[in-house]
Amino acid sequence: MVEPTHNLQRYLPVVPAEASRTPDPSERALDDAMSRYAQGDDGAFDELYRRGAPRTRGFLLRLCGDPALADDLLQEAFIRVHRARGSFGAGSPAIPWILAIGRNVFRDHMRRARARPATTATANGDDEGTQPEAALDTQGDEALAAREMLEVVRRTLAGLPVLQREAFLLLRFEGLSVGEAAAVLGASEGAVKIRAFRAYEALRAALDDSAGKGR
Amino acid sequence: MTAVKRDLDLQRLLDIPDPFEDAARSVPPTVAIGRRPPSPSRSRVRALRASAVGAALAYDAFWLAFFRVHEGGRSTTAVVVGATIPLVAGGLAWSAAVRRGARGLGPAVGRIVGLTVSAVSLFALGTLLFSPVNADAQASFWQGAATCLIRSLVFVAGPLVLTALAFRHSFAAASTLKSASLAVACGALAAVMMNFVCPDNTGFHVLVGHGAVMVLAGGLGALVGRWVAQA
Repeated sequence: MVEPTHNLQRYLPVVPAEASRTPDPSERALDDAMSRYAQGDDGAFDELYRRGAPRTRGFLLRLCGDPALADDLLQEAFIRVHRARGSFGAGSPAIPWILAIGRNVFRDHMRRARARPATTATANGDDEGTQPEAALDTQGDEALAAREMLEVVRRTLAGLPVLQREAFLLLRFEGLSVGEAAAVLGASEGAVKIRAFRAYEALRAALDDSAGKGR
Repeated sequence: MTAVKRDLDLQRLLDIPDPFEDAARSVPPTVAIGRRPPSPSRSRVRALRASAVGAALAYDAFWLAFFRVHEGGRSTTAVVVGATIPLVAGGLAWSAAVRRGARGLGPAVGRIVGLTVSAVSLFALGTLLFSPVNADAQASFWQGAATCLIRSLVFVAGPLVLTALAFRHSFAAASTLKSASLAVACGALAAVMMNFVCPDNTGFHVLVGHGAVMVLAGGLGALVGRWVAQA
């Protein structure tokens, strides 16, 4: 039997609330590495990649739903970071800038995929092989229910319009504030909130529907 | 939908679990460093942009000499006002694109749009307010306006190309809007040059013959901006 989703909250990751977002030391080190790299210090690239790539890959993975594709997009994103490094503003936070470039890479990929639909079946997360992974340390019904819930989220995310998906991902999983997400997406704060909220409604409805069927 | 705008609603996003939590934790593959193409540092980008501005002014100065600066018929004040209005408008549009913004991704989109629309509006209103009205409608109005429009296109071509080169792969976000703003600024520079070349400073002639290039250039910038200026 699948339990209602609200009983499973203890298995779910906790993300900081919007108001509490402040750059941690790791983020400051990333900003510093990006700043040095923008000034022409080629040696800073390794640190920049080490600190920035995991988060960028996570964002791309959640956007496209395919780990192999996310790796390819990550490479392209960091090539573009390298190409555009001279345009990075001194003293600016690096993560929103890198995520914005990652988002550009993904959108360009989507455009190419639309032009060649037969060869890019996995761009929307339609791949059969990719299974969601959850940090579960329990067995039995609860674990099954949590896994099922994650699968519902993965499927629903893949089916969301890209505008809604990216707004939701930046706010929910990347921990950006609404203002930062709006800057990354090149949209107004109001538009970002509406897109994220619509994505949330779709995901919530899918989870509730799944929980209802399981009872 | 007004309820969505309350910050409280954002807390509800936490209800949704992360299906890629573990997969996102895996170590990304290392990037092939040898394949990285050369890229300019921040100081080189600054130098490149300054050079582009200088080259654009030199290009327009050449065409100014070619078309010849109009002499006589207009007061110095009229010439200064005629140059100041597009200059200020161009400055507004330029600042919309190049300002760093609080997060290093440029100003908010509303501000970019506002500044760019303000630039074009300022030019239109300023021209209509400070330029003399056509005393009598001339049959040759459209012919004169078309001639000036063609000349202004010549003036804008160089700055547009140089700006595109200087801002290539520069904008991580809102590249279409920022490219349009830069192109409007280039159009405004062309309008400044036309003020020196053209003896006709009547409102509607300046608006159509000298100012339309701002809108045309802005449209072109918006069309090609994503391919040229997106990082």
